[in-house]
Amino acid sequence: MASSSSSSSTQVKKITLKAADGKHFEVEEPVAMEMETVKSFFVGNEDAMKDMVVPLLNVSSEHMPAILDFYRNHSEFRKRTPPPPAEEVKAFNEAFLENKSDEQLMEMIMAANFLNTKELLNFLTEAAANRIKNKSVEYVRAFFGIENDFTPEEEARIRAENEWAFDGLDED
Amino acid sequence: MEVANSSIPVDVLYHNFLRLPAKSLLRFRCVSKFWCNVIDHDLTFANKHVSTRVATASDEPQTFPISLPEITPTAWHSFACDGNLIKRSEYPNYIDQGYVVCQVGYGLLCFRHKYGGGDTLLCNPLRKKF
Repeated sequence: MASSSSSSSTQVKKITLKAADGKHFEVEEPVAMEMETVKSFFVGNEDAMKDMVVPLLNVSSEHMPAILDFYRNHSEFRKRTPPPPAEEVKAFNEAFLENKSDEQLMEMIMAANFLNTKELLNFLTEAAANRIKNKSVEYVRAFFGIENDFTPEEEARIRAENEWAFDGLDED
Repeated sequence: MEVANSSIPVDVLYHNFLRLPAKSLLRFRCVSKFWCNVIDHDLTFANKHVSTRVATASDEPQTFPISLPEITPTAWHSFACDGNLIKRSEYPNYIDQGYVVCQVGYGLLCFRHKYGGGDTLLCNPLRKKF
């Protein structure tokens, strides 16, 4: 950022990320470095940054704008003094999840896992846990795409061991 | 590192498990054999679950606090935990009135005999296991 150039405009270094479907995203360096997976490309090899395109094989371009938006906002929240009011962070997080289907949420969790960013992964898994915690077993199987490998008898027996845990569920 | 019959990586699943209340985990033992196995037998997971639940200090009662309104040093009564009521009739026979609750912590109740004899017993009130 501290360019010796006499130009008055501040030059922020950009890094090009390539999503799974080949689409390119130009991202400011500090934002890109929020992703440990991207950071690890450059550690000890800062020169590599110049023209390198970082392939993100497990991240669909559909989710890149939202994910980058999360990094930008949350790093701004962290830097701000005094820290932003809790309601402001909450409002951003709620808006982030709004209109996201279960499937989209799962895809973003996989992306955050691949990008190795704790903050985003923690936030998304907490959101997923909140979505499923009061749901039925069938809902959870569909949510994670899991096949039931119990026989009906086995399932009934395991269920009977903790029958109380099936009370008071939300509708699917 | 993928779970059989599912495309979710194991570490992603663990992240999710760690954020679920005990009641949900007991229900989700029915999801698949793999889930049942992790929830039942992975001790590292059990310990981590307790510490994560405490650390996140969720807004609803989880494995604790356990409410023990009726337990007195002389008698056993029912106690409730996370909506799960354990009745006197559900205690194992070998626990008699001589036992008192001496400790509550990490989601477990610890019992010892009031005269110092006998074994110390641990109870996981959510699982009704002694």
